[in-house]
Amino acid sequence: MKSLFLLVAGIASLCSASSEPVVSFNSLKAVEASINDKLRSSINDPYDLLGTARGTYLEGYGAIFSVELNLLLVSAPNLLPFNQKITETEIAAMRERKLRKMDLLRDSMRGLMLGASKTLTGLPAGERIVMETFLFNYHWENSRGLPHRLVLTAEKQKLLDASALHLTGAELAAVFTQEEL
Amino acid sequence: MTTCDRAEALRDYAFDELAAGERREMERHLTACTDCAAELDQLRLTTAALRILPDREIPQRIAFVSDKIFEPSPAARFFRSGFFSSAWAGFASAAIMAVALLFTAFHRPAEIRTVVQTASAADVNRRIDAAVATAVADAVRQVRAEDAKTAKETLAAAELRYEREHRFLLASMEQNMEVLQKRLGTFTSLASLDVPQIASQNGAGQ
Repeated sequence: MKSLFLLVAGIASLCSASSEPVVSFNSLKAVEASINDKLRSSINDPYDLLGTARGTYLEGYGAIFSVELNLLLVSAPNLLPFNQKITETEIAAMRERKLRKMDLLRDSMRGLMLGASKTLTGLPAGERIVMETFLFNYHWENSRGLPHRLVLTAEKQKLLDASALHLTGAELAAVFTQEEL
Repeated sequence: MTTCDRAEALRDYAFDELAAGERREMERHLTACTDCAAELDQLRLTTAALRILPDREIPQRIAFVSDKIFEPSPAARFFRSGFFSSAWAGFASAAIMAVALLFTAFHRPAEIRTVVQTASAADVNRRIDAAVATAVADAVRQVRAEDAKTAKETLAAAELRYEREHRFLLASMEQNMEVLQKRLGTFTSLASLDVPQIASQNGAGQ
């Protein structure tokens, strides 16, 4: 009887160990929180965070995080009942600001993914970390040249190596696969 | 009339018909002979007078009355005949007068009545007023039609512009609402994330 109990207990422990996710829920939440904090932290020219970060893990592929934001929050001209006109100058200025902030956003996303590679300890080194940002544009904006989605993908091990080697600039950018849609 | 024996040579000299040698000899003679000099002056005066007279052309044909071409035509011979003599003419005139008297005595033409209609001043004024009123009415109608057309076009353009602006504003408002909802969701989500952290911080503090 005792031996039977031990056998059942052993099988149960094996089953529970196999169903436990490789990437823990808490580690995903931690990365989400870091993304939200980072994107809200810019004081001078913050992003307009329209959708908080959401992360998930796909076994055998990697961890994926998505977020939605507008590149501009402050002093973005908007249509109100008493301000129904937007000049061409304002629209052009907005486009210029957004184009400039695209580079800042890419840098931020790379930094966040470098941090995530350390936070996601359970993630196998050969799997990927993907970060997808949905970019919001108003219908009256000149969004020519501005993507609606920005997706960065990198292998965890390469991210850890880049972090250890303190890579910057073009060397760091070469670690990532970038896709703009 | 000169009595000099060279009178004939003098006439030839006057008409420039002498040879050069005879001419010089005549000129010497004229200085000595006063009769010939006087005769020469007379001849020259006559020559000058003749040159003043107009030239007359020589007739190309001379005809006589007896030529056949001057014979009267048959009609002329009829009118010159005794039928149109003064007696016959008087008789014919009297006959025509008698016929005319008889005709007027038995035939009276219908009386010709000429009716001239003259319009009165009031009638003329009425017509002018009517014409002016018609012209003014036409002009007013035309101006009103043009005004109506212009107003219609302006109104259509304004409606189109208003519709466009309305759609634009509506789309903007919808998008603004969407942004506000997303911001609200973000705020709620972040607040729910912050509460456990605060609670855990408070728990750790205790």
